[in-house]
Amino acid sequence: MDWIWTFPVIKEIGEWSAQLISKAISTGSVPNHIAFIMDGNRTFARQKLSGINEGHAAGFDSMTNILGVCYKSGVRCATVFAFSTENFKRSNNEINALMELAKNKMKIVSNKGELCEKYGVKIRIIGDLSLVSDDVKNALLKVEKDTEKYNYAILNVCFCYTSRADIVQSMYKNILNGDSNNITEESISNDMWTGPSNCPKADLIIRTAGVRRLSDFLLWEASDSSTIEFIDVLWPEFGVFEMLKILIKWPLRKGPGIRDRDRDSDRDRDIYIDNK
Amino acid sequence: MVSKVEKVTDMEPNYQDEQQNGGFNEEKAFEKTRARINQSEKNNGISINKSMEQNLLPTHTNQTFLESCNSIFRSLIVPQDENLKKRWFNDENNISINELITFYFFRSILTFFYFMFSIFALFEYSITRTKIKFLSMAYKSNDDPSIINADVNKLPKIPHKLATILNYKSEQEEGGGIEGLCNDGSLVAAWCVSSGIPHLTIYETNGILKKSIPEFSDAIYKKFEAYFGMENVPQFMIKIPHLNITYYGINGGLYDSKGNKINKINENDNNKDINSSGTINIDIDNEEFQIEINLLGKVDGRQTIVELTKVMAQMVKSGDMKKSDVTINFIDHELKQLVGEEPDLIVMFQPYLDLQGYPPWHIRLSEMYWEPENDQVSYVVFLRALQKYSTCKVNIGR
Repeated sequence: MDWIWTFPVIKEIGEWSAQLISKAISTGSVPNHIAFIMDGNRTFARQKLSGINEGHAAGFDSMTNILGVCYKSGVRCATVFAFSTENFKRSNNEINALMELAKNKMKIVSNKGELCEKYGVKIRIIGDLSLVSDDVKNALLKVEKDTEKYNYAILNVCFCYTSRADIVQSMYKNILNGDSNNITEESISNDMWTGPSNCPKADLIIRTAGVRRLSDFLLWEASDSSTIEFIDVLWPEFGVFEMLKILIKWPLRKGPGIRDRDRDSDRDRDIYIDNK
Repeated sequence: MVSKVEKVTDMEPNYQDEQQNGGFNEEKAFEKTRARINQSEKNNGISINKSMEQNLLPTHTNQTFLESCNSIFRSLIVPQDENLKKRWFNDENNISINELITFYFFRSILTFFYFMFSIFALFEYSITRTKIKFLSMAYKSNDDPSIINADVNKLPKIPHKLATILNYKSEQEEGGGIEGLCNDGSLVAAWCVSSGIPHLTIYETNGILKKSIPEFSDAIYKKFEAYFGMENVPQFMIKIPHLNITYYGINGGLYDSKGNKINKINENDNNKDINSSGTINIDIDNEEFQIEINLLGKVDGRQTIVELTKVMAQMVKSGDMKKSDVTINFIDHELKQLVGEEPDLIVMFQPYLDLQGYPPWHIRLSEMYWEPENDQVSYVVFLRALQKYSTCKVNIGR
């Protein structure tokens, strides 16, 4: 079906209708926080017989499109798994290319007129940045600083991240606070990089490329309160319309994210009645 | 950067160092945590029972299709959500007609979409239901281990550790109550033994199975007898990690870790042990067990991590432990002792993916499988999970 988009007007119509649909979606209920595991860039490159780096670049373009649609539909926070600490096991060439890509593309995203300004997105870099070289680290921190002023939405970029490291750093913070009586499930959740004190609770986790595994991403949230969606499409082929379909289906589907939301709203209503 | 890369990948040597350095602390931390969890569970015991009575329904909602449609359409008419109001109206108290008209224009588009998708979902639902029915006719275990074995032997690899999430159903339902749950658990255990999987973890949120060990071991024994015959009933081991209790099912009797008989499972067993009546000892170390069954509940999830943090906070305060000892490897080691190993595959016998508070630390690389719209513990789901698992490639990060 890709050939359809090569006609001159079709692309504009497609973009326009995507905008219309995402505006329609924003009148209903949408997840507050969506997390993405962007899997399948290399398989995509292999299928298209291009280099791995082109695959990653295509994945990045796909990411900006998807994020745009999400924010337009009223999602307040998105988390992307850009680079896992485990990814250091890959070949040096690939790691360097990924670092370069991260450095350059994040800069582009935070430029004037791009994603961040358009939707008011504040970028947060999550993870252990001491593992990367200084120039990459500085570039990422600069992006974080440049977008600090925006406050409509949040984009968490997980870089050198693993969920276990996240849990441990949260435990560590709690231990340093000293008083063991103050340590509760909430306090540990709060101190997580992706915890409620930093951004809304993750409602939906999406993983592409047909892999039904979490691979050390948002384990704490996934085990309890997030709905997880596994999709067979490769990430670079994951289009705007597929994302819209997921967003429309969101209130219709069943899962812990939905269950908790219902429970929360029930509780809110009860409190409201009590006050009366 | 290269040296740092090595630091990340070479976890094994680090880990061993740590074990030598912190061996003493480790034991202490995990013993204390276990004690705390048990204590808190005892305190909560009464309230848990109470809340269970209210919550006898399974944790997944059993809303019918019409009910869920109804609630969606009802919520569509009036915008109540605070976020939504903020998104659409500049001033919530003073909404202009223009704003309202555009809002309802877009909302009507969305309603149309919901309508289309609901119809589509209804079709999808009936198609998947029919598919499951056909599949369960095609793949039948017939309670025969050799059939299961033949099915599984075709697969290039099987999981070494399997976990399953079971749901307690209310007693009014068919196959509900504790009996139903024990039956489900023993079925999975029998399939695991037949297919040669030595470790099984059964997760049930409320921890009901842990409290009904006699019934459960009875169910397992009967199931094994039905599958493998009276002569060679497989021996099994039931572990409750957070209580640090292990039960052994040997020749129709249930023994504790010292080899004392606590319960006889099988009534035909009377003639052998009737005189000894609970005093016969068996040397556990010499026995071989075909399957190890771990029982987990919600306590083993986030709560265990919280308790471990509390214990570590106390130990750091009193100087028994250094701050720098709080590492991923250390905590991984502690949690392995407290909860068990990470499963290779998690099979869910429920209509949609919901981990229900499964220990978060232990789902890092676990493959997950569930069959949409299925709510029965059936052999097809088990077999299809194994088939799916055998095709997937785990390449940690690579």
